[in-house]
Amino acid sequence: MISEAREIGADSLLAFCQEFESGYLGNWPPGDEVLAREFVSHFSLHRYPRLEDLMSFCSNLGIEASISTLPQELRGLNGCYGDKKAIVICEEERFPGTKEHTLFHELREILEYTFRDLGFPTETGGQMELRAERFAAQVRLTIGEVAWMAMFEGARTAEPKWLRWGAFLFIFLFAFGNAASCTLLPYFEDMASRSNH
Amino acid sequence: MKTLGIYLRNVRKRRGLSLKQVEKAAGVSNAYLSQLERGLRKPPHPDILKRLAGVYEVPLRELLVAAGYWEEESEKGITRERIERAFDHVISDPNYRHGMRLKGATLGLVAKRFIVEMYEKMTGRKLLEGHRT
Repeated sequence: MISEAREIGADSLLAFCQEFESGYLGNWPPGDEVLAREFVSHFSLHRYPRLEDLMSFCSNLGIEASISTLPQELRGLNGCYGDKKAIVICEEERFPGTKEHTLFHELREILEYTFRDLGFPTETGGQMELRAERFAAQVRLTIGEVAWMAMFEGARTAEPKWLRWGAFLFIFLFAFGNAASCTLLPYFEDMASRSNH
Repeated sequence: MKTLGIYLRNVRKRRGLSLKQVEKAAGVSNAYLSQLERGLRKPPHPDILKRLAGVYEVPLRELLVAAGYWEEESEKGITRERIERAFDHVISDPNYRHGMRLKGATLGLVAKRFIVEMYEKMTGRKLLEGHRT
């Protein structure tokens, strides 16, 4: 299992994929939910990162990430050539969280190139888009989960009792809202682009 | 044309301009601009886009793409064939890996061109040289 935080460098994606592959070799390919959890844990994404933080995270991984006006069909794209890796995210998005989701989607595809290079592709059936979507949603869910679990721990000792239960209610609503926004985002986006056309 | 509207609103906000300031600088009424931004109007004439591009300090091409003019123009000309050929080259290059997150099911010419340009930037190869419009 992958659990410790490590210093992030250009070889970190390769190191992560190697470690993940050796940890789950007996059960290959594991689901994207598992990959996402290990990814969050490995890179210590244990709080709500701002988009700027994620961009510099990519930069540390050797990925040139940028935000730009994209043609209307694209939310984001990635390209890899030799050692060069790039991600471009659409600047004009309607929903909060879309840019972060897209960034994790593109990162998942770059992870897959590394898995293929290692001889252990996780996807061979043409479902990469779907897997990348699942991965992106799960990464954001896991980050949120860590945050609300920490809040829950803090609230357990709150006094008086009514304040504690108020905090629990707030955390429950927060967790529910976060889970709904992470998992339903692609559906909202899809509905919005349909209405645009 | 909500894409253009969102684009116009974003670039205006990024420049920190109010609708009235844009009206003054570009000579386009603020009511009309507001409707454009909300997607309630058809794309304006390219002359208006040219004036807005000057005020917002963005390339005219970006506004033309957002308004849908660029794709129509390219599709009619030789550029379309060139872009399609270059795009085929990109997707068949085994040394170049790429992926994308789409808003719809299909990829238009403008998007293909963008992908080709990204390929050119990363590989240093020129596939559209001499055919830029």
